[in-house]
Amino acid sequence: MGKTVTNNSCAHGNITIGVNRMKKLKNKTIVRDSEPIASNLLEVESSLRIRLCDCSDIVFRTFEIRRKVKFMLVFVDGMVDTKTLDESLLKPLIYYDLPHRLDGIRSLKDVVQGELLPVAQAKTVSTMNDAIKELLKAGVVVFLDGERTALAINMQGGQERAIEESTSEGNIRGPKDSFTEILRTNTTLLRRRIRNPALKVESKTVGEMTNTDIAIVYVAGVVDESVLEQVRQRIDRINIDGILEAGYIEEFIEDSSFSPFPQVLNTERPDVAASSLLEGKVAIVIDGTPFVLIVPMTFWAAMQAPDDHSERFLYATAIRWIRFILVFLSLTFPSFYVAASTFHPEMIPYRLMLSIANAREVIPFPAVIEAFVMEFMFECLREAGVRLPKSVGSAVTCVGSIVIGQAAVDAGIVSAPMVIVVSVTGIASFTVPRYSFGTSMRLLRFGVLFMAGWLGFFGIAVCLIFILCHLVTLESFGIPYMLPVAPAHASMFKDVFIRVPRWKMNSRTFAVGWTNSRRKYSGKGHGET
Amino acid sequence: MKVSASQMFWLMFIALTSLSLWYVISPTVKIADQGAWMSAVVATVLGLFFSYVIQQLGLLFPHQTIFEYSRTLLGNALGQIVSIQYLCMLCVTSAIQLRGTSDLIHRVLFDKTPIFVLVALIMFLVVYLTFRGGIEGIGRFGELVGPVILITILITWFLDLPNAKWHALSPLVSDSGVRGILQGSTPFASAFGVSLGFLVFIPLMVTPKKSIMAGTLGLLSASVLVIWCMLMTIVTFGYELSGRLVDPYFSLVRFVSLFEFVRNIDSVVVFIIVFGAFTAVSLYFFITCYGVAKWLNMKAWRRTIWFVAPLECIIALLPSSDTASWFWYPQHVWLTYIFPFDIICLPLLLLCIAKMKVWTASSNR
Repeated sequence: MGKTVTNNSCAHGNITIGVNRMKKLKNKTIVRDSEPIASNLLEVESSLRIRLCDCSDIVFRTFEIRRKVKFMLVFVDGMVDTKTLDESLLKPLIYYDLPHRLDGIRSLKDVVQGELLPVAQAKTVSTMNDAIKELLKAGVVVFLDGERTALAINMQGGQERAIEESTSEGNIRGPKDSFTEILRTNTTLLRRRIRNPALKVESKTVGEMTNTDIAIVYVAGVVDESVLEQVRQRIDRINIDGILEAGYIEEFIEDSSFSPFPQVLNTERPDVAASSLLEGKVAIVIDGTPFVLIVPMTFWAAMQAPDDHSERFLYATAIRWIRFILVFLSLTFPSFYVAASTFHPEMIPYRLMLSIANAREVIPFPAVIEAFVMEFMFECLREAGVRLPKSVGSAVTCVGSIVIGQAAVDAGIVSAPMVIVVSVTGIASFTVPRYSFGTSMRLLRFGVLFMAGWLGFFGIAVCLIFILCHLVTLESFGIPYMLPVAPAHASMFKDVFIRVPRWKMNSRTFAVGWTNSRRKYSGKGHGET
Repeated sequence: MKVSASQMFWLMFIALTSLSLWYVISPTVKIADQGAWMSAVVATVLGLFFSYVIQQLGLLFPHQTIFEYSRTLLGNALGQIVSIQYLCMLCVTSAIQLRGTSDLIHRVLFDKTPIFVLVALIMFLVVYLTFRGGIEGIGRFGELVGPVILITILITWFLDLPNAKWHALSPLVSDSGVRGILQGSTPFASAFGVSLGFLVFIPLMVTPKKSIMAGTLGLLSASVLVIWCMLMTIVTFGYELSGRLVDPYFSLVRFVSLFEFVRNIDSVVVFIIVFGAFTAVSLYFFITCYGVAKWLNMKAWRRTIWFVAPLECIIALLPSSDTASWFWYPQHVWLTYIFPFDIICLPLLLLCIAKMKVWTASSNR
């Protein structure tokens, strides 16, 4: 009844692709951008085959019903759900024939309206370009002889990764699911958490080549309109051929590219994204990556782990303080050690100084060089641990711990206190809940270390003043980075240095949602907001 | 680019604390002995009064700085002279403050590093903050640093409690007499010159009246802090020694010990105080730059940074030793010329003229 042809070579020509032919093809696609769909099916087919030449994954399938109506199905092999295609498109058309009350199909609209095709999403397209766009968006396009429109049916399917536990942001208590590479799955995960028509999902397409789908998600009535408008504008301004990861978008939309601090938060966790949305922030979901971007980001958001909001508040507050201390240590601990042991030994208690001096006696390097070497080694090991295949990973850890540990100390190249300092710093830098924020601390650490080796405590002070000056003047989408501490907003302090019990948080803890800052009505009961 | 009330509080608090903790304690105790605390109280009252005069003057022209309204009040020629001398004073004072900070670091932490390295480094940071953030950035910086300074000083008090010999305070009213107490109050009262900032700040405030209240509160809390620090140095060292030490408060910090383990933490305190001093220097640097721009009628005030900054560096490097920034300037220039003329008389005179003008205008009508 029908014939299936896989488009292995161009319909009209040679196998070798000459420059001229490519030019011709290019001209064809450019000049006839809004070429209407021809009513003759053969013409449509040849036009499509020229445009989609050398695309072996595109399947053309033509067939007739009752020798009256000619159909052509076009789809990308592997991107559509073939089971659904068989069940809901081909079976009704081929086996059950046309419904009796329809003698013939007069228009494609009839096909949809007559409930012939039991598919959820279908729309009609009238130009070749639109048809191809829909086709490449994992759709099945149905062309009909004698019809100037085509029917594009969304039948996204094929292989995709299941929803798994997050690998980059772990937690003990709280939801375990994480985003995947599929945009629709990700927006669904958000919609399941916020079941309210106020949750808006605006879609955009970015990238001339990749045509990547992007969704801007926010809660209407809570979101800061100025931030939302800026997000729309900055995304519209992006002019690039391909978007392959959230990082591409991040670099385009962030406020100051030369800052070491990330101004856009990325998360793999739907619960983090949903709670940010409820605070009036904007989430940007990008097809093809499990990382969702959240703007605006503040310094203090980087210090919050998902567990903070599921654990009991006393414990959550205590842990948060440990985290503050560790972040400070990860930036300055080697520098303080170098400064104190080189420039201000009188500060170190007498007995401690004795043991440090004893350990350092045989070491040939000054403390600052020693610190640099060890920090460098630590970064090498960390990078190797991430890159190496899992089977070799354990060997690296084993050798690494011997090299920067016992053997180096025994050989008298590195002092034992320095090994302790570097390991504490390394561990401290991994306690930052946001990985991208931890990396900025690791980067800045080398600068602080250099200044500490040159000017001791004053050098550290200069670095810290410089970093603080930078932080207080940094903004993310018009929101100060250090909000709510500088500029101070006492009403938002409930989730910064301490995490107050949830029944005390009766206003949104982040100021972006000024428009609707009330979170909870009276008492401990729930309230509609 | 506006300052909020809480930022004003911390800015005034930091400016007064970080100045007075070094310059004021020793000279006051030297003159007034145990009566130093009374001197300080008198100084606070006087200082707040001068500050009040300056604020009232500023509030009469909520959208102008002194460089604009001095011309309205005194006529063009006299107004220009007043503006220029205020600008020179601000420029030199902030340069000397910069030098003083560098000298402190030089004395406590590094005696071998050349002074121009320290001056240049601090100036670089000041320019960075002022250029990127303006007064708002400085305000936010103050909000971050202010609480840290306060907590650090509170901790040093707590740690110093075991060293306190409270009998050193008696007699509470010393033999120095009323004259001594009044004389002793001058160094601290002159430190309230930080409120000269109100001559420029008021147009930059979100809510001028509220911010001025907050600023005054900041001055008051800073003076309470300084008075308590003064008492702590007296009970630790006795008034004789406190009057002789160059920076008695840092000596006190050097003296504390916790569990016989934490000792000699003066470096840490200097470390924290450097943050405060930096804020104060940035504040005065901003006032100078902004003032020059207003005086020259420039819209883009940031351009003035590029010639004020090198100028201040040169002025800061002129003195050959730290006696200039620590003794000569505060005692001979600031106390003898700037304090009576710029802080007391000129604002009072301008306020009287302004009030007279308002009064004649209303009686004519």
